[in-house]
Order: sequence, then C-alpha cells, then structure tokens
Amino acid sequence: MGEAPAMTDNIGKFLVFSLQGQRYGLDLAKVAEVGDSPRISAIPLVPACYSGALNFNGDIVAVIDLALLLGLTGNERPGKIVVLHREVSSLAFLVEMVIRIAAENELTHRMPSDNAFAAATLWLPDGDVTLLDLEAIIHEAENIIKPPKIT
Amino acid sequence: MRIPIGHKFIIGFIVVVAAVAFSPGAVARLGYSPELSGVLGYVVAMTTGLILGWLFSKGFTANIEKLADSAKSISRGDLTGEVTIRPSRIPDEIHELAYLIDLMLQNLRELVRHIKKTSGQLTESAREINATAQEINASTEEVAQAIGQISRGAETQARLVDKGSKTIREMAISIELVAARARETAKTARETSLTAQHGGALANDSLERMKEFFEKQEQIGQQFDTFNGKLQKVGKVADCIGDIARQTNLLAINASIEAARAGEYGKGFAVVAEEVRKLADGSSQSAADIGEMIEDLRVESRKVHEVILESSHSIKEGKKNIDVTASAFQEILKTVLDTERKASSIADLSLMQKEGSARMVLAVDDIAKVADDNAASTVQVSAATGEQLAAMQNMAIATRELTQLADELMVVVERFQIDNG
Repeated sequence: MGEAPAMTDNIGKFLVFSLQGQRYGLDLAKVAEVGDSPRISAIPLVPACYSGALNFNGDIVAVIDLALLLGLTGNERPGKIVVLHREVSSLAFLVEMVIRIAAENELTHRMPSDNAFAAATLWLPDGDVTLLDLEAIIHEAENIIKPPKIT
Repeated sequence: MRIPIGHKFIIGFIVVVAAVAFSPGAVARLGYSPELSGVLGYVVAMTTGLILGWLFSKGFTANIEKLADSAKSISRGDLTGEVTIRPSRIPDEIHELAYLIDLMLQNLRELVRHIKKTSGQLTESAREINATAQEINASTEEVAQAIGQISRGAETQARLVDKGSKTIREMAISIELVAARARETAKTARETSLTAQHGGALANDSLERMKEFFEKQEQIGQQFDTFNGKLQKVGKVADCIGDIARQTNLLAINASIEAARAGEYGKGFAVVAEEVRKLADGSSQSAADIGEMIEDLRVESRKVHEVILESSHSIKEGKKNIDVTASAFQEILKTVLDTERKASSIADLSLMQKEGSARMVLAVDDIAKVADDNAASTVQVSAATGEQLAAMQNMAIATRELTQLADELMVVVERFQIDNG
C-alpha cells in the first residue's frame, strides 16, 4: 500500500465510469453505492430513459439509463448501477462499467465543457473524463417526467 | 496294103516309061502318015509322060505340102488343127509321118494345156504366197515391235524387281528392328509389372498404416474432448475468480465511497480500500488473462482438432485415392501383363516375319534372275525376230520374182493356141 497521499476534505474525488465506450465522471460525494445491476421493476407510462425502480436499503429509487438520458447511442448494454446519495436525489444510474475512483490531485488539466450536462473535462493520466453536472441531469430527469405546466 | 514310097516311085516310073514306050504304037494305029505318026507319036509320048509324071509327082507332093503346112502352123504355135491327109488304099511312109505328127500335135496340145493350167495355178499360188508373205511380213513387223516392247518391259521389270528386292531387304531390316523393340517392350513390361506389384504392396501397406492412424486419431479426439472439458473447468474457476474480483472491486469502491463520507476518519480506510480495489483489479485482470488464455487455448486446441479432422478428411480422401491407386496398380499389372503377352506375341510374329522376309528376299532374287533372263531372252527373241523379218522380206522378194517368172511363163505358154476361138 505504501505512503498514502495526503487526503483532506477539500480534496475532491470522482467516480470514473463508462457509457457507450466513453469515460464519464461523477462527484464521489454524491454517490451512495455502486453495484451489479439488480432486478429492476418496470414503471409503466414513463419515458424510455426510466428503466424502472428498485429497492435500495428500503428506499424506492428510480433507475435512469444514463446513456439514453444523455442521448448517447450505441450497442453496449449497461451492466452496473450507480446509486446517488439519498440526500442528493432518489435516483440510480445504469452505467456500462465502473472503472475507478480518481482524486482531484491526479488531474493534469481541467477545462470547462460546452456540453449542457457536463461540468468540465478532466485530464487524467489514463485518459480524459467528462465530469457530469449532476444538478443539470437531475433537473432534466425531473423535467422529462413532469407533466407540462399549465399556465 | 502298104507300099513303101520308093516302090511307088519305081512303079510310077515304070508306068511313065510304059506309057511313053506304047504311045508311038497307039498313034501309028490311027492311020496317020508315018512321018506324021512318028512326030505325033513323040508328042503323045512326051505329053503322056508329062501328064503321068505331073500326076505322080502331084500325088507325092500334095501330102508332103500338107504336112509342111501343119508343121509350119505348129512351129507358129498353132496347135488347134489336125494333121490329116487324104486317106489312101495304099498308105506309105507319108501317111505314117502324118499320123505321127498328128500324134505329136495331140501330145503337144496336151502338154501345153497342162503347162498353161499349171502355170496359171502357179501364178495364182505365187500371188497367194506373195500376199501371204506380205501379211507374214507385216505380222512379223508387228511381232518385232511387240517383242521390242516386251524387251523394254522386261528391262523395266528387271529394274523394278531390283528395286523391290532392295525394298524387301530394307523391310527385313525394319522387321528385325521391330522384333528387337518388341523384345525390349516385353522386358520393360515385365519390369513394370514388378514395379506395379511393388506399388500395389506399398499402397496396401499405406492403407494398413492409415487404419492405424485413424484409430490413433480417434484416441486423440477423445483426449481432446477430455482436455477441453478440463479447460472448461479451469475457465469456470477463472470466471469465478473474475466474479469475485469484480465484486471485490465494487466493494472496494463502495468502501472508498464510505471512507470519503467518513472524512478525516476514513482517510486510512480509503487507502486500504483503494489498495483492495487495485488488488481486485489485478485479480480481475489476471482472471481475465486466464480466461483469455483458456479461450486462446480452446481456440488453438479447436484449431488443432479441426486441423486433425481436416487432415483426417484429407487422409480419408487419401485413403480413397490409395484404394483407387491400389486398384489402379492392379489394373496396371493386368494391362502390363497383357502388354507383355502382346509384345512377346509381336516379337514371335516378327521373328516369323523375319524368316518369311528372308524367304521373300530369296524369292525376289530368283524373280530378279528370271527377269534378267527374260530380258536377255527377249533380246535374243528380238534378234531372232529381226532375222525372221529379214528372211520374210527375202521370201517376199523371192515370191515376187516367182510371180514374175510365172507370169513370163504364162506369156510364153500363151503363144500356143490349143483351142479354136
């Protein structure tokens, strides 16, 4: 194991995963758990990106196929699930593969992204990672499922 | 009564003399003067003597003149008449002469008639002989020409026979060569039959070995199945390890999440969790490597198996081929034996042919000799014919002369008249 690098609360960490062969990142503080894709109960009359619902330690969590939500196309089937912290949102994302946890001090470069759902592009030694804007995604997920506003 | 002519003369003379002697007496009886009677007696005696002498001489000479006339006309060639004199009661030598001349005339007439007839026949025959001689001459010339052609033909024949003889000698040599080749062929066929037998034995041996190979190949197939089964088991173990590594990875990530949430307190745990995650990654990677290796092994072993199957297919085909080859060798053997038999037969036949051609050479030589003899003979015949032709020409000339002579004879004989008118 050796000498661990100095870790403080200030040092951010990211969960690196893949969607349709591309690497994405989420703030690790917002993630509750990762796991193999469990049995998901289908929810009727919801948009296609809602894969269903699951029971996470007694909480009902809506499962979103993150690739479909982001509008990515490809043949890779999601194999892992990333459950968000209940304080952030009662949502879980189906992703293709969980890769690793990256620390902010590993970054060689960080640049803003023009993608609506991306907060920044992180340059890691093992490749680029698109850091997702979780708030924008949650907002989009809620927008999709909400009925049109009556003014 | 025959009185010789001399006696007749004497009698006549006596009569005349008597008449003369008796005339003066008779006159004196007439009563004339004696002078007158003397003169008249002389005159009467002379006249009576003259008249009687004239009558006697006329009686003698008339027949002689007739005979002279007949002899004259005979001498002119007139044999038509008859020698006739007045018949007399008292024939003499003149009558005998007339009779003999008449007999001679008749004989001459007969002779001339015969000569005329014969000379006519002779002329006719000579003409015929001449014509025949000319015909023979012409025929002989044709024969000479024909013999000349035959002679030339015989020379050509002799030349052709000579050529034929050469050709037959060459043919005899060719036949000998054929016999030699046929013997070689028979020998080669015998050797080939040995080779074919050897080949057939080798093909059968190959078939036996292939049978062994197939048995072993079946064993290898079973061993491969066992190997693959064990490999699958290893794979399953590797999958299990991979699964555990993955779950460990997720657990480590979740531990990292929890450690992050624990803040300062979880820092050490986060490090441990990260190390666990790395180990899990390593394990997962190793398990994946093992899986890949097993997969590679399976692929490779499948390939090997397929190659073996393929080669066994090929060998099956090869077996078929070898079967075919073995039967082909049998066929070859049969054919070669047949070939050997035929070649031997050809050799025997060409030996017979060789003997036959030798005899033929002798025969042709004989023929050539005969042809040469023929050519020589025809030359002789040609010469003989030439001589014959010359002889025939001579004969033609001779017959022409003969005809001429016959004609001349005819002319001479024609001078004699034997018939009236």
